[in-house]
Amino acid sequence: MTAVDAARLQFALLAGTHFLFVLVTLGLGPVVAILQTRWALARDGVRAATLETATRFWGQLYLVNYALGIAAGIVMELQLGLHFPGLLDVAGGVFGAPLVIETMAAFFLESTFLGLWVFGWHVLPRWAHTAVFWAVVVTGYLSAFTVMVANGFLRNPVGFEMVDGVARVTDAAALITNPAALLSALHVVGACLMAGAFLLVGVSAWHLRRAPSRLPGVIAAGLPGAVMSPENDVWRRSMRIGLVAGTVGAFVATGFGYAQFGYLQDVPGGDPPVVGIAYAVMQGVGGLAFVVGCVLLLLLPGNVLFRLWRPLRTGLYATLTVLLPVPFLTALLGWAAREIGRQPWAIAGVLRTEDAVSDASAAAVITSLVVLVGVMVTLAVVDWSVMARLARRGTTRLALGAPPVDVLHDADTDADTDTDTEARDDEHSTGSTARDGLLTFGGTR
Amino acid sequence: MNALGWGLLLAVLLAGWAVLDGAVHGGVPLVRALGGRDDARRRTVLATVAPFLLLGEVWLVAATGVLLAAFGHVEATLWSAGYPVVVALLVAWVLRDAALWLRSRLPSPRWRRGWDVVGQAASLALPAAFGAVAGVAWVRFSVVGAQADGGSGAAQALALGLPVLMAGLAVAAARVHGGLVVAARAPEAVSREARRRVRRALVPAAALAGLAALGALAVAALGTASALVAAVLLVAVAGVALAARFDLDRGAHRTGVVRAAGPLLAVAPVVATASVAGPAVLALAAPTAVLHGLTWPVLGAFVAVLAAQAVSWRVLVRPLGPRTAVFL
Repeated sequence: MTAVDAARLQFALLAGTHFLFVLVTLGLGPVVAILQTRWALARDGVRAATLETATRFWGQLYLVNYALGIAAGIVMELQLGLHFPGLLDVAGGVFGAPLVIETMAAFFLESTFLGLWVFGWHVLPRWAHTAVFWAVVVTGYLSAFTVMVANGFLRNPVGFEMVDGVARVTDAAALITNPAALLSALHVVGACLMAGAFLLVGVSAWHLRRAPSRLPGVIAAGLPGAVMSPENDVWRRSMRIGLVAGTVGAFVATGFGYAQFGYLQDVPGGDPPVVGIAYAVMQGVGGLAFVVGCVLLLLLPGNVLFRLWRPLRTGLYATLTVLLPVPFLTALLGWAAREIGRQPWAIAGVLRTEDAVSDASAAAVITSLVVLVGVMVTLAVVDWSVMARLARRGTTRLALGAPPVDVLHDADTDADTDTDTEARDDEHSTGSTARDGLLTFGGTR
Repeated sequence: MNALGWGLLLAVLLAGWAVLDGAVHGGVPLVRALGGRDDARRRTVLATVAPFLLLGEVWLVAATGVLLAAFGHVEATLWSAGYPVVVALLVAWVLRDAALWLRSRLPSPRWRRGWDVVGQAASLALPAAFGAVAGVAWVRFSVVGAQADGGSGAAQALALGLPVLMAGLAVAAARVHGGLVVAARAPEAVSREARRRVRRALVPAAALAGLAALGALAVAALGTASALVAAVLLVAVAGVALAARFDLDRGAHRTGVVRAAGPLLAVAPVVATASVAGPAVLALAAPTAVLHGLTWPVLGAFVAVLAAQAVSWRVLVRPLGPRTAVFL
């Protein structure tokens, strides 16, 4: 493997991993914001409690996903300077501009607001706390758009001139309204909404398949009618929101997917078979998701969907859960088509990829590939398995937004004292009085 | 904004990171020592530094953004000269984040203790790797790099020694700073223990700052005059660290010197690097047209960020109490 191949493979694997987290961040973000807004506005106590639970459940999944999303994004940010310094030498003045806006404005604010949202949960007034999360969502979308402006410039370079072999901006507006930025960003938004929706629908369906639709007491008393448990209500609401978001997302993703064929015909770039296959898969998935979404939406009035003939219903729920990974795999294909379709160019028609890579040796690049991709993929898999366990655990023992005293004591009791090899620090004396004094900090709620 | 303005912005962002994320670098390694076997006690220590995580690490992300847009050649030089330590920095950063976010998500004690070990190791490695990158910057953006390539023995020794020295200084500084943050926010039983650890870390930190000052003098002697500023700054910081030790020895932990010692030690590696490497870095800045074109968006964004962060700090940083959100 040459250094060029290793650098490209490393970038592709890290970008792919990063984007899987981005899909959930951007897809679930608006859903959590809407749930929290409805919670903040709810007057009825039971409804408010249900919406609070839903906000905390999906908010916690959002956070566990976000944690690795940031980490993967940081690794991505340094990839350009580490392996493609030619890109910065030639087009740093153009390409660097949206990226510095991304880090200095969008992501800086996003991370700040998210910290305020998580750790200011019990301090901020409800309306301010809700507004903070909307700020997280808006800056998150701004962040994604600036990245698409940078990526769009690579695919369809506009608004610049070359002076002594270095690109400089001549028309910032053209850079921003570049169809390769604007249309692609909207396409990505659709894909993100779809991915978030498949997560909502898949997890909700998993719980609905298992949960009894009536409270045990109601069944025991022989009363008629489907009375819902509070938890069941959370899953039904989540399912409804997911179906709406997914259908809208499929429509947007498909529409702006086709819209991109216009400018793609005019820019240089290869057309290997994998690109054609990826286009076909994306068209199939998007179109099918839209049609099925519309059918399921028609079943929502009167809760027909939740009252279908039982074998049909459980079969449908099981199918919806199994389909959860589909938008994620499709999105990866989308990026593969985008990046492979541009080759052999790093900036279409301006800079070849082989001229953009660093002079680091192939051995060094392969080593960092193994280390960084190994660490990132391992952590991603661990993170997804944690998310799966949290999703299965449902709305019990949510840490996000719980009173601190409950959260502090949510560990299992320790049974494996023999296997514990940690050296106990002999310096501090943990008297029971000191411990009790310590833990009361969260005790008065 | 000219190259100097962008350079100052870069230094401010790095210093902000060193102070804010530095609290996490120093606080997390205390989790096992101060928390002992008790998970709730460990999480109490984590809760003291938790708000610094999301609001702190983003400063380094912003700094790399500025590096990329305004100092692309600097980034390329630094990354190729310090390739292994940059990769180490990334790995430590990612592991630190994963350890903090994931450790409390599952209730198993073994899962939690395992991540605590990872978190402690990564929180030591992260400032070490950053310090090493700063040391590489001292070498590459002063006369030392060229002279070491030319075969000068003294320069070659410095090229090897400075990254190691700066790594040590950054770790020692984080220990003091993070320990003081834990001590300021935690309940008294934990605070006392944290202060004892800070007290013991102050002399090594002062010694490393003194050694770094000697390194700066050596760089100045080889021909980069701006390193003299770094030497003076580092000696002053070493003095503050010793004075803080003196105050803690006599039981006074609320003095101004003790309060200042943490942040001053934390920013010392950044400020010293800025004075050694500054002139050479500014000379490698992007063309004036690029710098001017980005001035208003970036400064506007920075003002907005400062406002958002100021509000957040007012809300989040107060001693732990019944309204503290525990998540990590």
